[in-house]
Amino acid sequence: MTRFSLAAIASLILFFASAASAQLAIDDSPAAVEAGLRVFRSHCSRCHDLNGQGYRGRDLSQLAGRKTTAQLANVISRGIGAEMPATSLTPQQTSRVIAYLRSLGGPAIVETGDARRGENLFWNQYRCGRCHMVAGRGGRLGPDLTHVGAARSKSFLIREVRSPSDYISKGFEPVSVVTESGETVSGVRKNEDAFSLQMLDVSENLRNFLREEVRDVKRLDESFMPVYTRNQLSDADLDDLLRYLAALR
Amino acid sequence: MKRTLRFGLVLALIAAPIATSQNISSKDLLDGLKSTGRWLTYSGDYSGRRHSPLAQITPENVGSLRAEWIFQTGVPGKFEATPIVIDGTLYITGPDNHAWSLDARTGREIWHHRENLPANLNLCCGKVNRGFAVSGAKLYIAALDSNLVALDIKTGNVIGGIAIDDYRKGYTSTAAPLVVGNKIVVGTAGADYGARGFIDALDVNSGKRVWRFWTVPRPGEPGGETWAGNSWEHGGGSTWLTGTYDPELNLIYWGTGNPAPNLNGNARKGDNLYTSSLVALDADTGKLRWHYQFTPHDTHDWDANHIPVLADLTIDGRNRKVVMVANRNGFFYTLDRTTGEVLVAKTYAGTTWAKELDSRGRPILLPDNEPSEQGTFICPDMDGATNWMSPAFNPDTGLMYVMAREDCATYYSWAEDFREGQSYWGGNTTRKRGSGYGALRAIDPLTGSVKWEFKFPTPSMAGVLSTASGLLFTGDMEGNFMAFDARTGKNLWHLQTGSSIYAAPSTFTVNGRQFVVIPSGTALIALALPPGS
Repeated sequence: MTRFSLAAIASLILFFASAASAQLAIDDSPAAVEAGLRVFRSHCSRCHDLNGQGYRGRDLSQLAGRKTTAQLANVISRGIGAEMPATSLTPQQTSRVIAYLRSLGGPAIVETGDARRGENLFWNQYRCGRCHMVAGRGGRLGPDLTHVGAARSKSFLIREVRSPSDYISKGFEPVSVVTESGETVSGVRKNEDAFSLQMLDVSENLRNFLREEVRDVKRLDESFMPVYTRNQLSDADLDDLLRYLAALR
Repeated sequence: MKRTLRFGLVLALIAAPIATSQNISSKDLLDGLKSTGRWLTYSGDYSGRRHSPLAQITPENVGSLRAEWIFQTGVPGKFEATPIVIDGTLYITGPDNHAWSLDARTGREIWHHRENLPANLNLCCGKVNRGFAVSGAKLYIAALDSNLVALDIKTGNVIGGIAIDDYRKGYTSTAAPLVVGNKIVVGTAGADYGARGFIDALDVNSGKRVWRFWTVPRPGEPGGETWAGNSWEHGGGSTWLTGTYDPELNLIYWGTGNPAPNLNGNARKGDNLYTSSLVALDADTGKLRWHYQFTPHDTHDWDANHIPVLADLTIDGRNRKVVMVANRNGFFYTLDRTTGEVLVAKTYAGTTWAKELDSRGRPILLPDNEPSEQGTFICPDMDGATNWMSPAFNPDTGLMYVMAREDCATYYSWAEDFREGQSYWGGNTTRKRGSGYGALRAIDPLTGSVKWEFKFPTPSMAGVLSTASGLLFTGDMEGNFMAFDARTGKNLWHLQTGSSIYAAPSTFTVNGRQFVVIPSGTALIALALPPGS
């Protein structure tokens, strides 16, 4: 195939992709977002979960903010490969779903609080950096937050601070292992199957266990991230913290 | 666009008998797994036991099992098929209606076929397909666009095709067809789009429909009274997994899926026959001989799309022809397959909706078992205590081997209008990430009790193969392909294949050596003992 024909095909694809979405105006009013939630629940939530955070399908809460309307409309109408089916949604339904998806994820919009004070709270007072890394500085037991402001919504971040066990990201599920010698090793689960377990222990050592070499493996319900109630972290401090996190992009 | 009847046009070209071993008669299908070099139907034979008489690979030597070849399809998506194998040649379908013929000794490709599919298919669960059926020198694939397509077994060329129904209404096909005599029996998917379910029998030569059994009766027909108003019109009841057949009784056994809308029972008051049921149909006429509804008025998407496993057992001193089903609703059932009488019913996984049946065979419902606007926590979850993955039955151990799932969900329901070609759920569920686990369980069909289990960190969707040497083979979501002692559940061997396993294993001999094959990821893996061992 010639270079010209490849370019022509690419142009055609782009043309049709943009043509398909050219008429799509995204109304982001609360009513439209609510309507989008209903369409999403009926047509998308079987795979992407009721809140869009993914189950069989991808976590869309981080994705939608980073894709154009044309890209989203194209995927919704045509599907992806052999796994995500095309849908028969009307243009209005598609527009509503995109409005809903945009309401889920980042970028986090935080207009109150003091980012500099929040940075100080993050690193010094609450020492979040013991477990979380930002731009190469910090720990590894929790998710890397270098771009968290671009990826997560304000409501998501508040939930992670106030009740972190509600949603634990894959690769950070708490687990404990009792070795043959009786030692208990706790950490976050990187991977597990019926025969082995890969863990980052609380001292950040990578530990690879064979199931036949350990006495017991327990999944823990509570995240290693502490719960910060209003008594432990005031709303004012949280505002400052969120302002700092929202600026991490 | 519907296909026109093309079987007749091409029949003249292929009617002459072809002197080749790749030509399968009705007797061959009735013989099932007697010929060790063959695997001729989805489950291996009509009984649905997925139990092979092969015994070269044993509990003692399975530790030496190794990859003989790996065929890379290059096609992403869930690889759910079981191959047809005929004396050294293998035929398998893959995602997106790709299909291949392979040299079973080497894994080298002989031909590749792909269906041309429309872009706007209504698919609940991926572009999957579970396999071919074979009759004569033709392979049959029920395609995603609800067409039955016949391929020339030697070339993979299309030699005929006929529309089963209209994909634009939500109908789609994923199951391997079942050839019974001179008929091809096919089911359909589509309940998640409100499509009314059916089972069709098509003439193996002309493709002409011989009979259709609607799984949702009209008003005035027997069972029609179990649907309020006109809810039957979009009542679901899909038939998306291959059934089984008893030649002596001449009955076809086929599971039916959920009523629609899946989670909103207010839209379809009544028992909603014959959804979430097992139906026994006369193979000649398609007439209903008996039915048993596992989950009356199902509001949890607990399809009964399972392999109905046939066996002859002695129960309370009487010889019984039985059909066994481990159901998505958490109960294991042993039924008399002549009459549909419930002989055994017992939970084999965690349930909160019901724990036992009444004297009429209906589940005794527990409180708080309905989806709601606010959400109701119910076990099992929507994917069920098992799902479509094949169980296996070993007549020597007398045990059924079931891939069980332990997970619960919060069920929500809401009102939803029907729109043709759009999903019609009326609700959905949420699950806490990582809350569930899976287990291979051995169940005594005489009592329903679980004899042993082997646990997996997450629920598996892989089927089970049993062999006469007392081995079981299965896979898991983490990518392990494993062998177990069928009597004790002890794990004897495993291979990390690198991708989740969504299919059931099968086994056959090639030049006298026993092979076991399993799809994993985008690959088909063939395993055998080292030559000469």
